[in-house]
Amino acid sequence: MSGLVKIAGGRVIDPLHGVDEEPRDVWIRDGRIIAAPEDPAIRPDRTIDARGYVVMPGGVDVHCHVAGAKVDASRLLRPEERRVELGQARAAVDDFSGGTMGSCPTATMTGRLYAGMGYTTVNDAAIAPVGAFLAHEELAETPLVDRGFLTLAGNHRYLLEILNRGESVDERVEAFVRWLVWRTGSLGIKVVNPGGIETWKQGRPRISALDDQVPEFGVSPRIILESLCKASAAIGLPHPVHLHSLNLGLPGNHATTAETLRALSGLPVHLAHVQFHSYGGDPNDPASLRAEVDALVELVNDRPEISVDVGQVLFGPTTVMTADGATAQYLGGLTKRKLLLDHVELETGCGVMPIEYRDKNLVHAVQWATGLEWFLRTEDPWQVALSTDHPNGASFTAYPELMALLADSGYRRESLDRLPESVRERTAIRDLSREYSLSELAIVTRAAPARMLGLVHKGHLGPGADADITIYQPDSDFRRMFAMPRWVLKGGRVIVDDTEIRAFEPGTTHRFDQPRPDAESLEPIRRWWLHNATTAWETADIGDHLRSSLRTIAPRTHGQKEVGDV
Amino acid sequence: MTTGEDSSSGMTASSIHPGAVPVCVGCGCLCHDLELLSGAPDFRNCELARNFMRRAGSGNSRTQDDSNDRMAMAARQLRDALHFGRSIALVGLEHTAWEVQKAAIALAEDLGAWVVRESEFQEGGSPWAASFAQKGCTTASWGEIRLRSDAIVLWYAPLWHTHPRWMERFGPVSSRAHRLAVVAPGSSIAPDGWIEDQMLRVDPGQANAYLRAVRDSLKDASQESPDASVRRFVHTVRNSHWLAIVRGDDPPGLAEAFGVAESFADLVAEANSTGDRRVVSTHVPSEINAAGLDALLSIRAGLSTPMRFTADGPARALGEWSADKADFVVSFFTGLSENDIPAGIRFVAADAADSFGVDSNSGRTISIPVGISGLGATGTLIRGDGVVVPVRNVRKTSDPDLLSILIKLRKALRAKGESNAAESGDANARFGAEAAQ
Repeated sequence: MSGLVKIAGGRVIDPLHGVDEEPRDVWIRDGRIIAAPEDPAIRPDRTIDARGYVVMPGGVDVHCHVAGAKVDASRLLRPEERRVELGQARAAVDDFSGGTMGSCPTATMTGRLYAGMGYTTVNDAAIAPVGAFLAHEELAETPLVDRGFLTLAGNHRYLLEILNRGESVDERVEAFVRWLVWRTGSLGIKVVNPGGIETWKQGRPRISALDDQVPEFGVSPRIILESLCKASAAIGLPHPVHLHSLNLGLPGNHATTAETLRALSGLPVHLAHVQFHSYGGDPNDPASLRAEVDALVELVNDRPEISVDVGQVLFGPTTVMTADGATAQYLGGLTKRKLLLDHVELETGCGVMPIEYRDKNLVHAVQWATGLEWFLRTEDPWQVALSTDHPNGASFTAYPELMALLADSGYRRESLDRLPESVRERTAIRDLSREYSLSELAIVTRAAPARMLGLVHKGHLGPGADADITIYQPDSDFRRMFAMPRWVLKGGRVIVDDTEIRAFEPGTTHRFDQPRPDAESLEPIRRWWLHNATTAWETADIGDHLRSSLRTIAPRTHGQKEVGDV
Repeated sequence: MTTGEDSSSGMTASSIHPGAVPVCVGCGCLCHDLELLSGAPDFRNCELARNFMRRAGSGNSRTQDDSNDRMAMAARQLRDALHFGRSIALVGLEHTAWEVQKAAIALAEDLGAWVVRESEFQEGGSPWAASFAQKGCTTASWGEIRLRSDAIVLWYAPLWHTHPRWMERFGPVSSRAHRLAVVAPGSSIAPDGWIEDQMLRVDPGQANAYLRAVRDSLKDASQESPDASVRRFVHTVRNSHWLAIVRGDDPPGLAEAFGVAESFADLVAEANSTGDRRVVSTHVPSEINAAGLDALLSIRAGLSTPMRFTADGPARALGEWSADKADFVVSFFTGLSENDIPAGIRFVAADAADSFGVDSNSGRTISIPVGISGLGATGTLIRGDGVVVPVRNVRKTSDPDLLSILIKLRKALRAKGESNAAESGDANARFGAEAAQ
């Protein structure tokens, strides 16, 4: 894209640069945003008349599940979804592939659906290292958006062994993380139920406290977490450790979540789907669930190095998919629905099952309200990213619904009125009247998630940024407004026009930029691999050919690197 | 077709796919420690592969070039046979190595045949896919099984899977005591008899009754089965903390295949329900491309037709299948038999079993070698346990021949989908047309 494009006169919202609905022009050349030409004689090759429209950076999803074996398995597990929902996302272009919808759309459909609602970057939050190559293949088949993923690290048996041995731990854990991120071509690491998945895979009783011991290894979740957070910071991964903590979904888990945050004092961390970790109640009585957000929000408000995504629950059928096999087995026991549990090659686990969140179900209603509490009570929206933990809380296609709930307190009250009365006693939702402004919505859907992921060229409209831009028709019905943008530009090219997909863009996948790990640091890992793994050492790595095709993201060096430092 | 060789590993790698992961041409096992001498195939570390390659009867080893030649010969035989058909359907392409797809699609194009996927043909996918979709499963990759299991049951394991070499995959890496029980169809024996004393027999046609008896005994300890084999199976489950059931492909002609798959899923689920033991099941295919492999891949690639469900679950009979209009069906590695095909339709099965060991074709079966580097439609090979092995992405090939074949595949799928849609107006059929766009 070498032509000069001008988006003229739109109400520009660019929170990073303090621009809030100001009539401005946005200029684009070679797929990037540029400063307005100083020479008034310069004319654009194309002008998009955006007067009266709202102009924002393209959306960035910090936490979703759109690739890898767990998504494929969910499609196999749930053919009934494909029977109900057939066909293609609205598109006026033939990209020579088709697909299916449901809560886990196929790769092509995923790209179309995201782009169709103005999202241009997605991050899969949990790829098993052994499935990294497949994930890259699938992401490459996910058009119209740029991509990245985090790889799972908190239950790798090699990590547990070196922590157990206790020799040169910092150095060895750092080498392990470098290797993991290098071999997978990922942006960083996710830690799911640290030590808990390994314990579950052993067939042992669940561990639930930060200082419980992982059988066979004698290390605690606290040790695992601290070591990985330190290594992540030392390496300068663009995104801090992405944490799915212990006791997900269990009543009373807020105490563990708070203790975890205190344990990581001073270390940057991202709390994933924090809504699922913010409950009071009796751990032995699922029906006792209530929101317990106060203390946790205060901790986050006081600690700018912490970020969260919410994992909002919205009502309707969807699919649970998690690396946390222990939680999936627990849920499966409660719901008695079909369930996939997988033990994944010395590294992690997996659970997939259908679920339906019902507005008349008190537990589900409390989850809905707990998520909204997080959005409405966190003081700094830069610390919050909008997510449904797609597809766990709801499909990403429900984001417009969630944005409407945040921006329109009247609509929120109407929704609340349909829920069981007791939800008002178990949560603080009825006392919250805050309404998100368009600028705040732009922060939690674009600017903040881009900053959290270290994607300095995303989430803003400053010179040098990727020209990923969404242009909305203002509408008092926010669901309609955010579901169908008038235009979407990807890398400066119009991919959505008049709400239809009009062009095919393959998009790129990001990885962390680091030098190849040296052979000496890899040797202990290689020896371990050859003794324990059932594939060749070489096949553990995505390979230089694929790696070289990925776009690199520079290390975070001195503290938080600001989006916009391009 | 020629093949190159990876001199470092001594294993074959396709010259069309330089850099692809070498795969053992003996069984496609992906073992990474084999040594194959160039020009004179000799699997130094694998007695199994040697035997496998020599099973032609002549005692001569087979090379990959041999297999390519044999495939070409088989393709010619197929082409000749198909001249008898006026309206031809090629079924089951998701189950083949790509070289076979290439030949089959070329045939389809030459003959104007329809390309029909097995999942459409069977209307509900395979019994195991249907069982998975109904009930889910608890599974594990091979590394997990090798590490954790204190007992392994092989269910319908192909004979070579009971060979010591193959079983090394599950060999202990720790001091855990491994016990082994094998459940096999009545007439099967292990190739060397090395585990024959541990083999539990299931009479032909009794697999489902056998599984039900095991489940009953597990649920109620007071219900001890009169069948010693069942008692031993139950004893193995009860005395294991971490049990792996490794399942091979169903034997041909298995009665109540859907019932067996469902009973098997129930058995695993119920065995896990006590909470004091872990029971996992995993599938080990007898071919390179597992039944589920391309189902997974094609679903994400969008080429798969959704399974058809009724109020009672997946439909199991031929229904609106487009090839009902066909007068000649060619099955590629589908497990379909003549009995599955409506009367009046000619049938040829291209069967991969014993692909290196068959010199001549018998009856209506034409054998096509599959001991060739296999890869899915989008270029990722998934081992039977779900572990991903990167290979080359066919869809992004620069090979002009392969590109040509892929274009033909797309056209054939589109034509088939449009034909279905026009004839039936059915939602699934319309989807087929869209999916092929």
